[in-house]
Amino acid sequence: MPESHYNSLHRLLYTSKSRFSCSEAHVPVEIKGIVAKSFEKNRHRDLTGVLLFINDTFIQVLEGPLSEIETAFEAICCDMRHGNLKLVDMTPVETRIFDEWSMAFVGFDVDPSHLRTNRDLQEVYTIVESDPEKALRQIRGLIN
Amino acid sequence: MPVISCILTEHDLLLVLLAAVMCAIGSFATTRLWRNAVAARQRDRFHWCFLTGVTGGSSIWATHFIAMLGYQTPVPATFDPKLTVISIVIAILGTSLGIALTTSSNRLIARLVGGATLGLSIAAMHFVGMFAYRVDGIVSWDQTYIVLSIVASIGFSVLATFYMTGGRAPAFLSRTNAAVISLILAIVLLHFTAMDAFSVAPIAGLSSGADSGAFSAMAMSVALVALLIVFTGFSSEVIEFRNKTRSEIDLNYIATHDELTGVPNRRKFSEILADRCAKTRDTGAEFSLIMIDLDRFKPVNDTLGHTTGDAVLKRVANRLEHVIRASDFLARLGGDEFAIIALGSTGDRSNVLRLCDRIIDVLSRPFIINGHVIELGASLGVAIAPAHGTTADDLTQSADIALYAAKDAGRSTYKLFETAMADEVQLRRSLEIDLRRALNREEFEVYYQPQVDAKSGDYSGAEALIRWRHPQRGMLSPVVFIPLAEELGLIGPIGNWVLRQACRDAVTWPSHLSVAVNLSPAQMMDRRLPKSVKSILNETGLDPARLELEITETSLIGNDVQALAVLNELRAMGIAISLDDFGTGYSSLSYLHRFPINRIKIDRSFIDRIPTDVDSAAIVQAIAKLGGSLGMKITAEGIENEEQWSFSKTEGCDHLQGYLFSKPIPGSEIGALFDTKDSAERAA
Ligand SMILES: Cc1cc2nc3c(=O)[nH]c(=O)nc-3n(C[C@H](O)[C@H](O)[C@H](O)COP(=O)(O)O)c2cc1C
Repeated sequence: MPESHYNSLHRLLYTSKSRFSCSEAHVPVEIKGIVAKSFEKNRHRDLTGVLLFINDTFIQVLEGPLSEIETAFEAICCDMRHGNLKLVDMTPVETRIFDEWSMAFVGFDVDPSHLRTNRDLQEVYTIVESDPEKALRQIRGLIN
Repeated sequence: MPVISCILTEHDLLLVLLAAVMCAIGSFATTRLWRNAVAARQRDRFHWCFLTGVTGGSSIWATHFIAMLGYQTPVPATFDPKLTVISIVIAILGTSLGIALTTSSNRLIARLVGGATLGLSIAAMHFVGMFAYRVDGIVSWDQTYIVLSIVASIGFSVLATFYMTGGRAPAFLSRTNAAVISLILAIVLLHFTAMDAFSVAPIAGLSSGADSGAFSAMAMSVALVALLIVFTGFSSEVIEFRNKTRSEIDLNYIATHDELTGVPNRRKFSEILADRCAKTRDTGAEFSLIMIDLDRFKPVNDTLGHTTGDAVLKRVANRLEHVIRASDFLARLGGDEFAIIALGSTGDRSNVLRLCDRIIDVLSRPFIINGHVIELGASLGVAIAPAHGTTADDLTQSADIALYAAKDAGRSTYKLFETAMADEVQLRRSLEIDLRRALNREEFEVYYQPQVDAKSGDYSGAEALIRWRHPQRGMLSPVVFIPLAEELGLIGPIGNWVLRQACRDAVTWPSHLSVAVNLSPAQMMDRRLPKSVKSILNETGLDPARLELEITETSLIGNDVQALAVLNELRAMGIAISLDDFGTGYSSLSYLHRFPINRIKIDRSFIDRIPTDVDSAAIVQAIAKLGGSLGMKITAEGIENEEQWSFSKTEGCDHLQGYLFSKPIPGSEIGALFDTKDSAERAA
């Protein structure tokens, strides 16, 4: 394995189901914790990406050097706060699409002002496995 | 007792006590070091002897010195500095030499010469020290006590050496402690006996009892130095002891942990399991044993290399450590095999089963290593003590049986042990043994089920079907033993035997009748298949055009290149190929197109339901039409009544097979059947 490959830019996309052991009311706090921790860790690892939460499902994009992605993904795979994890996509890429975010977060919100966000989230949720390319474009649109 | 009276009357008791404490501590420290000197390897021995000598010599010397401070003389006294220094040098060098001699591999030299040197050093130090003790009075010596003191010193030193060099100590003492006591006695007895030999008479006219302040100041500081030296020796011993325990802990860690993953190894596992089983036998407390086996690990190792395989195992261990609870014990048993002893199950099985779910979940998540995405999975077998075993062996066997059942059930799942599983394994084992012998014992037989022409109803041939006449279990169907034969690698010889027997039988039939023989996927994987078919044809003299080989789609999947090559070779010999059980698997049209297939056999499950079931009827129609347009012959299997016959005939099936015409019959009877039909025809 040439060194260059190991450090080359990759993007990873996976989905998983939340498996929080805490009470329903506490879930937002847990998620906030995950995002904060991820943000901190990713910043040090030159990783960027986004985490979506919709219908009890996490949809996460991670981009960065392959070796760092592998490390972070392994940590994610050791985390029992989610389950039924599905790797949707893992490819070398030319550029980052979330380069300003160590870990952006968008979640479903009951607030009426989020109607459009909720609708878009719902759409990403529906197509993420069948059409990851399109889902990525939508996610990008979501965080602007 | 002059010694005691000497201590009591002529000494300051407090200082005597201090001397005694000094002596005890010094002797203790000395023997610890001495033990190391005796045990040391050659290259370290010199240093240990010297260290012991310094500590031992200073202890002896300090004891003497403190006791002398407590010696009350009626006259003024001082110490001669030169002789005082010489006395400590004698003590250190003499003791070092003595200790060195005690490390000799010759026991006699070690004990007698070494011990005596030690005793003499103590004595020499004492008497030189006494010469350094200057009193303004008339000194006299009693020779008897001098001799007695030296004898006592040598005697107890030899005894101490005896204990240090492996001599048997009294039952209530350890060797080292016995040596400590002997050494203390050697020092103390020498000192006070020798002091009995010493007496001072005041010279008239001189003032008495005038110890100068300088005298005690110097004395105290020298004693302090001695103490420091002794404690230095002590510290070095403590450090050594710590290091030793640490390296013992390290060694223990290495012996009980898996080098690759860092989790406990099989050895530790066996220990914990045996322990836990013993506890269960005593108290009946429940606990669970989970056996974990990775699915699809071998291909990873084979295709991506051992380095990647090792990286996967490390991550597997790490993930497992994340899912287990604090009370669970995880071990790697070797290869891709892990085990968990769930100690804290407290009789709640659902907790353990939930843990199994989590393990299966976490190990089914992908591994990304060097850019490769690796999908594994795990099968788990669970046994619970005491229900499924109370010894380590029984419990392990139960868990293994459950694991086996989990693998059998399609992997990535767990199974809790059940007694029925054990029966199944038992059955399988005995079948395995019997199957290995069946061929030599000629227990296989070939049965034939005739096939007829759909239009005329005339016989067109027969399908050969293997049966196993098991000596105890009676006639066994291939469903029972063929998968086992494939697993055991016996399918090649068995398949060849069936083919040979079928060809032999077929040559005796009327020449327009063909014979169909099944090929298992494992046979198709064998490159030598065309060659063995050819040699069997030559040997039996059957016209290749009368032979039809039946394959299933499974033989083609994931094996296309090889399958295509084999089939082409067979076709080139003039042998027909038919695709069996069509409609049950992928039923991929691309297979029909790509492979040289002459015939499709529609699976009996569709024929069973025609003509009433609309879907089945539609499928039969579609397959018949498709086959027809691709130029293939169609056979309908499992015809049991007239309606099925007429429906299949109308839809375009060429040949039929089923109970309506005949069940499978032994080879000895089929010839007669064909003859009667033929003769009946001829007669008609
Ligand atoms: C849905 C989800 C997304 C996560 N995303 C990340 C991430 O992007 N980067 C990261 O380092 N950890 C992420 N984590 C957290 C890790 O799973 C894990 O908790 C953390 O890295 C462990 O760090 P620690 O071993 O230092 O406690 C995520 C966890 C969850 C449940």
